[in-house]
Order: sequence, then structure tokens, then C-alpha cells
Amino acid sequence: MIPPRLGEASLRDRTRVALADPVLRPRTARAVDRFASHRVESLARLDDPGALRDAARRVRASVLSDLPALLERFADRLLAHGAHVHWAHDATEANAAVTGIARGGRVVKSKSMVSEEIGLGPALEHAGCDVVETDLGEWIVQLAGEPPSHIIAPALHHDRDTIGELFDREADGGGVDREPTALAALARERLRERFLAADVGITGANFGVAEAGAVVLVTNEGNGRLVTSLPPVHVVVMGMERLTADWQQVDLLLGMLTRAATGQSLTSYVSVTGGPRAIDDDAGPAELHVVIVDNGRSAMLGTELHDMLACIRCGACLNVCPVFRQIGGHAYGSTYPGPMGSVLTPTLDAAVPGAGEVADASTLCGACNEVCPVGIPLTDLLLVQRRAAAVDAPWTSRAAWRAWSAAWSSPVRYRASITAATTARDASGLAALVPPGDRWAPGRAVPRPAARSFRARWKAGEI
Amino acid sequence: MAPDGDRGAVHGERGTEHGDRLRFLAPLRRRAAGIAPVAAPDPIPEVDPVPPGEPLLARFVAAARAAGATVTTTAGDAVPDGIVERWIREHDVRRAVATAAPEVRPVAEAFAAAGVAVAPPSIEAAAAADLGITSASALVASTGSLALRSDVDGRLASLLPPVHLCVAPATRLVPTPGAVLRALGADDVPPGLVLITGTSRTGDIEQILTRRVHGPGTVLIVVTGA
Repeated sequence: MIPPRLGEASLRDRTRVALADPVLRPRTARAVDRFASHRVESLARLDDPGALRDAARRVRASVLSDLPALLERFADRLLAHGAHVHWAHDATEANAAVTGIARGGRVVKSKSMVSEEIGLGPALEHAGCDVVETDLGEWIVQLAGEPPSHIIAPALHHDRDTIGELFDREADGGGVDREPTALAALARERLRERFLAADVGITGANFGVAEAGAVVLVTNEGNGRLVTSLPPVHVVVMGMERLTADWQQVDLLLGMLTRAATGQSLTSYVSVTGGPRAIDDDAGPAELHVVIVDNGRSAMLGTELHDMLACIRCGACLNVCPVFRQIGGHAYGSTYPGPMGSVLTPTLDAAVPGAGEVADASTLCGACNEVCPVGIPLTDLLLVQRRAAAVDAPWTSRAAWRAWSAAWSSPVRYRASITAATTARDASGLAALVPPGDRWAPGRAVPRPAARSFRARWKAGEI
Repeated sequence: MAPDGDRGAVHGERGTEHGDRLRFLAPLRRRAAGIAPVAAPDPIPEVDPVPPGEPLLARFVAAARAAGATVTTTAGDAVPDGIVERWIREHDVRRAVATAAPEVRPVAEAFAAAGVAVAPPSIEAAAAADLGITSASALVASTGSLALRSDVDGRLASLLPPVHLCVAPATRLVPTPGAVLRALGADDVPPGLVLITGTSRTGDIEQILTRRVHGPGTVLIVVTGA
């Protein structure tokens, strides 16, 4: 079933759909626990992970403070190497650039979150292109007609049986063996044909390198290498903040990214693209295009949300989030789920009604802050988005919160409220009938205050 | 192989710019004006440095094996006797592709002498081959990675066949991936460079480690002059 997206259903309704799925939670929990423990093990092997994280945070801050100049340097170096550079202010411009390059051809894609964000796949199909995702997880969700549910493990909500059912349709005779190696072999055979016939390869970018005019791509399966080596045209779609100044910075951030994401000291393949093929190379694209995408990012630059642009898309915050664990990635309804997504979505999807709601999908427990490899204060940024969303909240809800805040700010009034609650304890269920209690109460047991407060019992010497 | 005639870009020719750079950068410049400059740490620390004095070869062998590669070391400058025949048997090698690197030539000749059809790596030959033979521009000790430059080591032989055999001398050992990347600087970036660490793998099906998705499922490394 294709889960409802942002704008199609409220966060509550999307969450209800997710919670009604009996297998989603165990599958999500198994996956995120594995990622999280691999991360912990890999950091334990380092001398001073805290110092590295601090250095990584400063590297990202330095890049963001000098972004316009670094982007110019990056573009000039790319042009000098023979790459074509496209500046795309928004999704429409980015998609127009890529569809113009692809000219209705056969497209193979490697996993790229920014291409999900701008809706590139549907745009290419609309323009007559044949588009296939080649990362195994992405191919699975493409066959299922679903969006990815995790930024580095797009199909974690599937298991071998649901994948097997999707692959049965791809295999002519059906009855595909459910063993992971057999499923991977089927994907290899089917996708190898597509790689060899492709006109255009599209990738994202983990890092751009300004001093060198190069792009770095991190993959494990090898599809990224095929996408960047076999088709005659390679298009890189890159979020503009994905930049570094030099190789030293790439070295540090790369090591932090792979450890935070999967606990690997390096992924199986780290591919550097420095330009179109040389005349006597055995393969590689004759044409290289780099599409630099803003799409709402500049609206965060220099604001309270500035630090969010430091994100290197490792997914570590998703893996420790108690909310993500319960509802999975689809309930967030947008490209980026989990804590990082709950900060990004209200801004990047500002035009979609209800985008601000996702900032509520957090307990503010701070586990995300702890694991972020570049030290983004995610819970602070979630509060920034909540404050922005509160401007549009109904007056009843704002009045109720204001009254609560005023009452509990003073010891006298706090005690008075407790006395009132214990006195009227049988009536306290009424709170579930008025805003904001009415939104909170369904599906929960409304707590009944104790007959006598802790303070009263303490005073009476009962405790 | 010459590039596609109809596209015809040649490395070294200047690229073209599309969209409006100034319009794109204007809002960034406006907002960046209010941001205090932040200096990057200097020097930037290495994530997992190899302590001075630690033998790089031992570290490389251990890390490459941990990543799933099979590593053989030899004091000589050729692959040990008998090993080519064993690989042919174990991996059912009938067709191979080999790059033109000097380290590769004697190995390719040994395969040819044992009856394997050895060809230079075109897309067609590499896609049909059981084995691809390359050298490497660097061997990375801390991660057990191979660094292959497209302009020296090619792309296809290490990518399309199910088995990749890499032969490189111990003199190419470097401590960390950073040593390879930092050496590229501003001006020595090839069209493609790849750091290969172990085999192609995925965890996309139930987070179970599954080897050989799109790249080689077997990586054989011979370090010569060790």
C-alpha cells in the first residue's frame, strides 16, 4: 500500500496508518538497532571521537560561512575540467535542467535524496524518459511504488518475502528464491541490462570539493560506479550546501559519515568524479553535468536554522529516535524523515499545508543531538520550527498553553492547580474534550491524578 | 576506445554554464553577509591515523581481509607459482580482461598460458569476463582499500567481472584514505578515482550482509615485493 504523503493526510492520520501496520515496528526497530550499534562499535575504536566531531562541526561551519565564494570556486574548477555547470534556484529549474539533458533517453539512477526532494524521477518520466533506480533498496521501493522510508536504507520496511513478491513480477516465471543472495542476483541481472543500455546516469553527491572541482560519491553495491562509468552522459544533482573547501575536509567528513551511517571505516566504494573521460580512458562519461540546487536552502542560511545546513545525511539521528522507531519513515510524509527531516521539512516543503506539523514528531529527548557527527543541535532547531508553527495554531490551543505556562511558572499557582486537580480528579477527563487535550486524548488512557498530592502526603509524614 | 562521436567532449575542453550564477548567488550573498566567518581547524585531524612506525603491510593485510578481500603477499615481483591455476579452478575462469599496466602483464600472460582468453577491457569484453585484472595506484593500510585511477588503472576490469584480481607492489602502500585524497590537490584529479574496500555488498534486504550486488563479489589482492 502506498502510504499517504504530506498534504494528503495529517501527521496524526499518517501516524495512525503506520501504527496499524503490525510488521512495520519490529522491522524498523531491528534495522535501526543494527545501524546504531555498528556506529557505537566503530567510534569505540577511535582515540578521541569527541574531538573529531568538534572538528567536523567547525569544518561544516567554516564552509557555510563562506558558501558563495566556495560555490564559485567549485563551479570554475568544474568548468575548467570540461564539466557543464547548471545553477538551479528551485526544483522546477533543476528538473528542467536534467530533463533537458536526458532528452527522453534511458536513465539509470544511483541513490540520491536531493533527487527525491525535487521529484526528479516523476519529472523525467513525464518528459518521456525510462527511469530505473539501481540501488537495491531504491529499486525495491520503486517497484513497490513507494517513497524511501530511511535516507540510507530506503527499503528497511520490507523483508525478504515482500521483496520476493515484488521480484516475482520482474522474473518471467515468478517463484523467485527468497534468499538474500538470490534476490541480489536477480537485481544484478535485471539491472545490468539497464546499465549497459543506458543513455544517462544520474547520481547525487556526498561531497563537492571546491579546490579540485570534484564530486565524491559513497556507495556499497557498486551501482554508483556503474552509473558514473557506463552511460555516455553523467548528471550529478547536488544540494548546494554539500560542499567542502578541500580534500582535508573531505577526508575528515568522509570518515565521520561512513562511521555514523553504517559503522564502516569506509564504504566498499568511494568514487571521485573529476571530469568527463579522457580520450584513451576505457570508460566514463563523455559528458559531465553538475546541477547545483538551492530549493529552499538559502532561506535557512544565516537564520536560526542555519546549523541544519551542516547536515551530511548520515541517518544516525533517525536510528536513535524513539519516534522514528515507532512510526517509521513514511509517516513523516516527506523526503526526509526522523529528526533531521522534522527540521528540514517545514522549510523545504513550506508550500505544502501541514508541513510545520512534523516538528511535533519528536519527544525532544536529545538522543539525536548526541549522535550527530557534525554536532547539529537538532532539538533546538525543532523548537525553532515549533515556534514558527505556533503562530498559526488555533486561539483555543494557544490560550490553553498560555494559561498552563502562567500557572506553572509560580509556586503558589502550581500548588493551587494541583489542589484543584486532586479535588476534581473524577472530572479531569474533561480536559480530553477541549483543545489541546482533545487532540492528545484519543488512543490514550487519560491519567487520573492521585487522591492526595505528593506534597500533602510528605507534609503529613506519610513518605 | 574513442568517445561517442555525437557527444564528443574531450577532457581538457572548457565546460559550459547554464542558469544564472549571479541570480543564484544573490540571496546567498545577502544572507552570508550576516554570518561571522568561521575558520576551519588547522590542521584538520585524521579520523584513524596510522601511528608512525607501525608496519603498513601488516595493517593493510588485516584490514583488507576484514573487509572481505583475499590477500596474498610475496617477496618476489611476480605472483607465486601455482596460484593462477588455483584461481582458474576455484573461480571457473575462462575469459579475463586485463589492463595494460606493467604489473599486470606477467599475470595476464600466466592466465593466457593456462588457457584463459585474455582481452583488453572494453565494455563488451569486461561484461562477458569471469575475471578482471588490474594494478592499483595506492594500497591504503588503515582501511585495506585499493585506489584505482581511471587514467592509469581503468574502470571496467575492476567493476564488471564477478572476480577482481589486483596486483600491486608494496611500495604503493600509504597509511590512510586521506593520504590518497590529499595528494590529489587542486590539479591532479583524474576523471575517475575509486577507493575499493573489500567486495560489493548490501544490507538492503533485512540488514543481512549480502556480497556481490553490482560489483565484484570476490576481490583477490597480491602485494608484491613484500
